[in-house]
Amino acid sequence: MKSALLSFYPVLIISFVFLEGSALHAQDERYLGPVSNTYAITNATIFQGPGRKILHATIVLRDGLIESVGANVSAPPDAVIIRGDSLFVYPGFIDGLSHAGFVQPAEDRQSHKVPNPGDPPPEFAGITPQRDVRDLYNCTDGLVGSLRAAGFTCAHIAPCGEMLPGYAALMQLSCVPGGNPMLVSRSALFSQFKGAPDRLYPGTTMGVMAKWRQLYLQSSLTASYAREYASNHAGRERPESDRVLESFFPVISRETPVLFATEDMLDVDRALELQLEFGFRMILTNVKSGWIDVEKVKRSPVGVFLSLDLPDEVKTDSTKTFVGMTEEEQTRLQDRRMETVRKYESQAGVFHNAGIRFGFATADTKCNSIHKNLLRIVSAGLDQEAVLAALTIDAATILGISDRLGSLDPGKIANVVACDRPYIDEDAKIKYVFIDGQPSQIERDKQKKKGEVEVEGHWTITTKTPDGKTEGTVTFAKKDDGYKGRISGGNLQAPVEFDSVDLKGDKLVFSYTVSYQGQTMRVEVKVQIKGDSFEGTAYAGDVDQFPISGTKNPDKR
Amino acid sequence: MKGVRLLLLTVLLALVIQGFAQITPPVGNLLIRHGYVLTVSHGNLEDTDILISNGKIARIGKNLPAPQDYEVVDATGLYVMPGIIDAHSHIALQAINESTNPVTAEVWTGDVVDPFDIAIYHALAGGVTVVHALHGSANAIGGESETLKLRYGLMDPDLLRMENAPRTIKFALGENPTRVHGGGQNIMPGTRMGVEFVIRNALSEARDYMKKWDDYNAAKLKKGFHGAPPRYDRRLETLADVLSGKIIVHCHSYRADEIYMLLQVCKDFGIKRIVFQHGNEAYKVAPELAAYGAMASVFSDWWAYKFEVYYSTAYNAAILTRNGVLTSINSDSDELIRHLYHEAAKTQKYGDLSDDEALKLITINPATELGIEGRVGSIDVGKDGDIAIFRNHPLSIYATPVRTIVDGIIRFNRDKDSDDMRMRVDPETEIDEGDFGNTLKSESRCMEIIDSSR
Repeated sequence: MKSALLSFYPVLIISFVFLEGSALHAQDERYLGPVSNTYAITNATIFQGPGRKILHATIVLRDGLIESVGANVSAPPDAVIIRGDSLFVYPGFIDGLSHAGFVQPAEDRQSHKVPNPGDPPPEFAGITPQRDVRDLYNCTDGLVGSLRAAGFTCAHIAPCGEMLPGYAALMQLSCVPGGNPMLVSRSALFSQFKGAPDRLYPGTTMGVMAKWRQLYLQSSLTASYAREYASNHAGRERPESDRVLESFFPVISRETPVLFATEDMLDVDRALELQLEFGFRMILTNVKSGWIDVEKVKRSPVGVFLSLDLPDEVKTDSTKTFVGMTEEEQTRLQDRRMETVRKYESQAGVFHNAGIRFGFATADTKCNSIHKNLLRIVSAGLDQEAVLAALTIDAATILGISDRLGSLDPGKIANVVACDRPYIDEDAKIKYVFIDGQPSQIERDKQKKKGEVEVEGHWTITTKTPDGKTEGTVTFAKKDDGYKGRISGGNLQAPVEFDSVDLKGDKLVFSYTVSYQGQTMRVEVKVQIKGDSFEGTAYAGDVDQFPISGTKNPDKR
Repeated sequence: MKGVRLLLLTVLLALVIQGFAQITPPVGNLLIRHGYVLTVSHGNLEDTDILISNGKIARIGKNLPAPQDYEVVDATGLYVMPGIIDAHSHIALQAINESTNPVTAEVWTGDVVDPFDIAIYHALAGGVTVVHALHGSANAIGGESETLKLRYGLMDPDLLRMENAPRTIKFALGENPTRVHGGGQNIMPGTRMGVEFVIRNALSEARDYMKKWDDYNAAKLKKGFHGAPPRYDRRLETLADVLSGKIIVHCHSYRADEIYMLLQVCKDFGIKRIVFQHGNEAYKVAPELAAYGAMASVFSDWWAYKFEVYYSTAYNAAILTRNGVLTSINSDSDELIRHLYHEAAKTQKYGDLSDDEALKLITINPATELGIEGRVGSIDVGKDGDIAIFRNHPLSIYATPVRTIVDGIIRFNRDKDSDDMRMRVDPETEIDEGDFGNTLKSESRCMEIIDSSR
């Protein structure tokens, strides 16, 4: 019985790519280009940079650059005017690590069987430092748009992979046909402590450490001999040509930093160890639990980007009891967890208090948690000015682009974010995002009452089954007094309509029937909606159940 | 940093000197009073005090005055012995086996030290103060290993390293490497012959490598030399250091024939410092081991968990000792490590070892195998203040560790043993179960990742 039910998973749990109807036609539409290359946001509260707030001010953006900012500035006649009477305007946010837009080459996803797993071709072992993310970047990726909607206008985009995935680039997060999103190419060599897949060498963190040292030292030798050879070819052996080793040359000559993703405190430690051994330039990024390393980081000449991903807050209303454990013991365990969550929340504050400049990275942060998590970081003790500095000028300084980005000053690139309230406010909504002086996203007022549950629309759902995590989409629409809906994607030949949809308060129950290999099974899903997300359980047949969660896709207008 | 051959290279690297001030682990000032002191090196002393200053044993004597600001431990009626040393452990490591190649001399467990492992505290609760955090036994030649001091409470992995402890490396014979590489990947070694070949081949390559660099470095000094440098190979760098005696070999082994085989390999390549780990059949070649000066680190009475460990005896440690082989008793287990004193006591039932002989198996002998006998392993003036205090004699079945002291700092105190000693908590797991007490999981982690057995 169990196995019969398990065979439904492929149907039930759909992995697929959601294609919005309009996107299908996008190719047919002609891109008309912007109406004007000049914009002015007038009479707004403008945060030029840390400690530089101007009231009732105007900012003029022309041809991709900031032309003027100030209280006495008036909008030029050719400008598209945005009345900013109630707007709060900030420099566009800068993301210290993202994989948005990265298109994994298909061969990466294949499993590799090689005759000698101890010495695999480097590209099978996650060693592709010769790769350039430029060649594998597609700005139409939904994540690029989601980051933009969250206020990020520029990001350090790195390829995905294992130990040495390739060179990262600083990208403007715009996506217009014929646009030029590249800000700095080959900005850093990206690395992380991830072993090779398929039981190939190097498989463990200690293997990665050894391989790192091997590659670095061999590259140093090769580089120095290559210089010798270049100075005089006659009578000398030709140096070996190796794309992997050559990728290290700019790192060895200190032209280019290594961008090390080090989520865990012990990974931070290891990266610092390598940096200390070899003296290369380094930026630590996506740091999640680095609070114990503060002193070491402070002594090291490295830049730091802290992760915006935080552990979930501990639910204190859980009624779950554990066998053999007193209530007091359970409370103590819970207290320690809460204390730990607070440590993650206060990491940025600890770095700030230690006088370390840092930015933020979104790499594996859900876009809809970014604002919420920043608020948690603020309530854990980091002051608002520091948060804004980290999102803007401090990030730009670490990345060496503060002459172009990070503050709203004339001559800088016109990356601008405008909110309807101060950004560090629970209810703040981002209304405008300008990248290179062009409006990238204009949010319309939703007129949504607080607390009201809005089920209509498309939801991306995630389900955890014994087969792993999978994604799908459900859609709800109004029908008579209630709702109808359907689930679609992947192995489902066609979308399946729901048998019933029932919404009571924030509790949503829907059910549907699937057929697979001649059998049918009823699935009932019970979830609780909280704003733009829901969580609950899916019941398959009579026996199986698994957690399900969903997030609402932003309205496409 | 390893590699004399790389001396020139590091000059080429144009390093930026950052002046990282060396961080040193904290040390304590402590006076232990009125204890029954088992020095291991010079007999037992009744009603004796031990003064530890700046982490080192400063004085041993009667009625020593307590200097100001010294913590005082009253050991009246208690037994005071040197901190226990485990020459075969895998605690405090985030990775154990780089099992992807039969030879991985270039990896180092010191790169994956986990100061938060709760097993460190469990070990302290068994009187252990130093462990040899070994690479696993998946490969004929595994990685370099790290000697750790159990300074539980410190979060910087660097601070757990035993400063200046000699380098050690793991070799492995028999079923593990043949199963992983021969059985698992259908590559060499698939047999015991293959294991020997893999080791000899690697050492020969290292010898050639050394020569290549020596020739290059010599030629470079001559006028008009234009040659390219040899390829840098971290694996062979390490093995070259084994050949030149800079690294102590710790070899996982069970059968007498393979132990004897490796002795011949060592002889052929001039490797002098060799410790046979496990060595369940070492007793059969005890005189040969003694003659070579090889050492052994064995279980008290653990065997029959796979075919090659059936021919075993609880008299192993005693026979080796009586034959003049320097021997230690180890744990290779997060659980066994809590009662190594009890494991040592078994040699009194099986082999009639004296108290001192039995205690040496878990103190000065493992220290010698790790090359740290000048620092730890006995209670002598000048040595590290690493002490275990017991209620009842440590070799008694009623022994209970009550204090464990590392560098003069109390790292385990039975009176302050709270039920949650974790240093690090997973914020998203409701109950962090750990693996303590789970016999399946707490078995040897030698073959972690590969399978669940040793």
